[in-house]
Amino acid sequence: MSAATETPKATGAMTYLEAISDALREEMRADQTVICMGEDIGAFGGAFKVTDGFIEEFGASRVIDTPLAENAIIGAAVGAAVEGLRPVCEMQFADFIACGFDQLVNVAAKLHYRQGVAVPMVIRLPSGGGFSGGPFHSQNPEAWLLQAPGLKVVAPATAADAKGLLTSAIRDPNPVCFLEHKGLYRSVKDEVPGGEHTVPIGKAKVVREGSEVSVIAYGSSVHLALKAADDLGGDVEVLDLRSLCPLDVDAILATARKTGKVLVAHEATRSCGVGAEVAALISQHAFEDLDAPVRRLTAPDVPIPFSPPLEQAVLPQLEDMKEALDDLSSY
Amino acid sequence: MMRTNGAVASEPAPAAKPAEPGRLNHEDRAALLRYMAMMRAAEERGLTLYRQGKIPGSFYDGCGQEAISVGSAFTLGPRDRMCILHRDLGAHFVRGVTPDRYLANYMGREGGLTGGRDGNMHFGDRKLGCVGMVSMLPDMALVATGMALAFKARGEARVAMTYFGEGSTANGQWHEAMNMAGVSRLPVVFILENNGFAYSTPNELEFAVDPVERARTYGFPGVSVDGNDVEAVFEASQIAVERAREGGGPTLIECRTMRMHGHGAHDDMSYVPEGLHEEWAKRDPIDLYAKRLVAEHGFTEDEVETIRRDVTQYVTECAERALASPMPDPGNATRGVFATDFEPLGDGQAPWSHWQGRNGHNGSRGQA
Amino acid sequence: MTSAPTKAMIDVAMPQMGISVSEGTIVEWRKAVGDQVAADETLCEITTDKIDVEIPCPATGTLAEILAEPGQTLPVGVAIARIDTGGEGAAGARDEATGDASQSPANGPAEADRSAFISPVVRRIASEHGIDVGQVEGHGVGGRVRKKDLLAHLKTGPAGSPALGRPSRPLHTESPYVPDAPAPAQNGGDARKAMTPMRKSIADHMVKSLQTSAHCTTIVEVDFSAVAARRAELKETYARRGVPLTYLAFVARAVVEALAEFPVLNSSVEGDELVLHDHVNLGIAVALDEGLIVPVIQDAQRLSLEGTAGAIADLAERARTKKLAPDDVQGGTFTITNPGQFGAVLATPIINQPQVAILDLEAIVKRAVVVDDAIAIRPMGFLPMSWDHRALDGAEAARFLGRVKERLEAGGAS
Repeated sequence: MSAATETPKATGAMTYLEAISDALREEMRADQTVICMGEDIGAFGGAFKVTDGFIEEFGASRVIDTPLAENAIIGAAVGAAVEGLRPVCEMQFADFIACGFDQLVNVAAKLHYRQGVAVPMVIRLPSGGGFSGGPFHSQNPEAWLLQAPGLKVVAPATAADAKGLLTSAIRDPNPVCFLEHKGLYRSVKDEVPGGEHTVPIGKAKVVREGSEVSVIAYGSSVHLALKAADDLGGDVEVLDLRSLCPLDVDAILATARKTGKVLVAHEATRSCGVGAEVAALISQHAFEDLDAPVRRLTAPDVPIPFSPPLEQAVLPQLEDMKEALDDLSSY
Repeated sequence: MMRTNGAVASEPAPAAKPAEPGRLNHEDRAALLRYMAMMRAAEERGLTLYRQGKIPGSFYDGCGQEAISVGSAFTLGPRDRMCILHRDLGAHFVRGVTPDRYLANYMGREGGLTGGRDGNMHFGDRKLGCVGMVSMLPDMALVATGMALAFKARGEARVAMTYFGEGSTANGQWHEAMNMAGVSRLPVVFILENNGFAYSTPNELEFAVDPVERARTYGFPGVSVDGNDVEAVFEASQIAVERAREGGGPTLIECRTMRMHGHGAHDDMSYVPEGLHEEWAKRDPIDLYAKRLVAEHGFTEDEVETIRRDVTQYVTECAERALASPMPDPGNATRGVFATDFEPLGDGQAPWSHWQGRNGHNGSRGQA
Repeated sequence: MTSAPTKAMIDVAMPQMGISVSEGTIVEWRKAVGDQVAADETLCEITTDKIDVEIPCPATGTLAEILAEPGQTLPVGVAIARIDTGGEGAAGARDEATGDASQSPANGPAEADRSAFISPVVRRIASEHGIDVGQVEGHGVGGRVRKKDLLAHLKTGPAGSPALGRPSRPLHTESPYVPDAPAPAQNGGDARKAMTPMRKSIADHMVKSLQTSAHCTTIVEVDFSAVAARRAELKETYARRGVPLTYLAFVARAVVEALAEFPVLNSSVEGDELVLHDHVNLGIAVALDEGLIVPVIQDAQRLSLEGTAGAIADLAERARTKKLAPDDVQGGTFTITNPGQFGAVLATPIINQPQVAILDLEAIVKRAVVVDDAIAIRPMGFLPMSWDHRALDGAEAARFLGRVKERLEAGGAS
């Protein structure tokens, strides 16, 4: 199944990966200032084939195969962005954001606050584990990014949201980090509106209604939560955060108040992750509505191991989610 | 051959064309002197304010290096762009920043160029096409490279100019910028200010190969000039800028000079070898140029004196204005983290006579 | 038809040829069922996302089963064939995941009694509705009351639909509940005072009870002189055993005995059915400073007069010292109240749902009455009983009360 096939104009089912390509392609067609920069994205079509066919359609000046230099990719993107282009950079793996971290947090994130200079750029970050990628190809680095004021961070879980959020990210005048979970590329497929489709940055979505327990999740954990809830037949509400900065605090508090029992789930490691932030917000603003302590289902504070039994022991599994829901429900 | 900053006998710039007559007219030369003097006067005033306790944090200047920023910035047209560093105040002035805004920024005032958001030389007036520096060096080289990438992508005959010290050339990001610029033949001019010391680290501890020689390994020319000769800097910059504009790619210009003050006002420079300062004091760029203007370019002593005196007066007035600017409102401290709109960078001033009457066009090629 | 993997039988799974690949398609099988296969020998060819790959056999043995046909697409990890290795066989099952669990379960022994723990939301909702959490059945860890339990309790209580085992709530109009002092008048006009949660709750329940039952009140007047005499006889003996003997105890005993003859008074209405309870769980209203509570004597029919008196005293004591357990206020089938202690002589009480009758002991007052055509001074007390006309008629109610009167006027024997 090729990701480079022409996408239909009408609503149709698309994989998560196809939706990302679709968003990028639509925006590049509509706006000449949108360009792509990254390693192996041009002639090769990208390590995951997101930009397959792009260089043929848009040319080498808009689909740029960069040297192996993450700071250069991001730094040059900053320069291009302040000069009116809309670069969409790709880090080949989210893990490599560490190699471009200086330009991201010290230059891109702070320019507007310091000088009123807007930096409209997107950094696409293929994240997540579950396929023996090992410690350097499996990370979920969003917590690093959330500690750099000036960056927006989004993490879609569905194909429709992937397209909608990438489109919004490209149109946003700020640097936006777009976390695309690799495990969802081909395994998630849903209805995606054709043509122009945006999802606002900063808005969560209730993807399953319930009244006894809430799961607040993003990315791969949303699917884990939905599957567990279905298997258990439980009265479980699932809130897909979709955006991590800005966070939809209203939606978080609404579901916490509704059920009084909250599980925050993410594949990223535990300490000081998004779960910690959400739990603190709930405990501060919805204390009187809590019927149980806020729990988190995350990876432990461990580099992601390579060997399958070790990796599965570290990444949250379906059974872990079911157990957590059970515990919370019977508390 | 291992070279330091030119304390060794200076050599002519390789691959530099001889200066053409008529490139700089009388007004241009006056302007060059004026901008250098303005930088000197403004920084002296800043140092005084710092010693008077009116400047929080640290104070940095480019004393002795005025020719570099002034000479190079003078070549640019309105639509060109700059990433200016902490010893290049002259470039800000050439582009149109006034000394009061510079002093107010140092003092953390509302009227400063960042409204108190960032201090010392971490500023750039976006309305004049300048992106201000960050502390991490030489990050801005990559940003300038990116701006050049945009110019090339749009087929525009525009140039990005960026500054860094010789210490930065030890940093990976400098190499990434040089490499990317070379690979894609981007219209960026890299100005290397080799002043002998990166804080206290002398050149022999910073690199094994003179950085100007690295340009060749990245695929483009590197030239070396006397950084205390404003017209030599101007000429080399002009050639580089023209080459970039015509699609010839980047150039590295090493300007050899000496840092006459400490890394910052807090630095007593005890590590500088005996006699080096005295040597270089004899080659003060402003004094040298003032003399040359009289000796070779038909200026009178009086004229030169007037220029310098007027500048000092002007800077004094600017200082008053800066001191009158209020401190910023703390209630604004958390605002402006995110942009609500994109606004393009504005155009800078281009005082060189070459740009007069061109209405700000750079003769863009193939662009609407 | 398909065999299950055993120790000797191992699965060949669809491999994952690529980080984000989730399925593969069989192109062709190079071996047939029954063929001998060697480890690493090519078993089949698959294609995933335009990459064709030859799949080597994982072990030596016989190809026992092919589970996917050419052209068929299966998800990664699903078995596509089975090899019979004939021996111990490779481990088909995954090793148990070791290492840190990604989330440790709730700390603390689940068996510990946590019924006293009240979570923030339970406290808040209980306070809003004036509910004593101690009266709610909890199904959470350690027996604590969960929000769900509290909401369920709220749902069935005020709605009035009968559910056995539901704790009763004070509904009596004659409740000696003392309202808060009225708010100081503003501008000399009418004073406005917000209802407390308990007041609101009582108001709600009163109205609901009246809307549920067809209330009637029948009254008998009882000569308590025999009871008074008997009480005088027994009082000290009981007191020595720590049991205070009150008129209420006599009335309670008489009622319980009469209920044995008139079981319809000890019932509940459920839809079109009358549920006749085989136990008498007698609710005795106890006045508290802040309101009224109705603890229940479970299985009151088995208690003697002394037992009844003792139970009443015990419940009253525990109610006042707030030591009642949830069981103490649940399951009542008939209620007796005693507002007479405050001097009232007549009342029309409101039934305590889901029961069908409630009986008052009004004040016992010396009155001039006619006995054997002469005036006598006797301690007289009215026993008004409100009852539900859905379950019974006036005759039955009167007969029941007559029986109670009879027993009391005989000295409340036994």
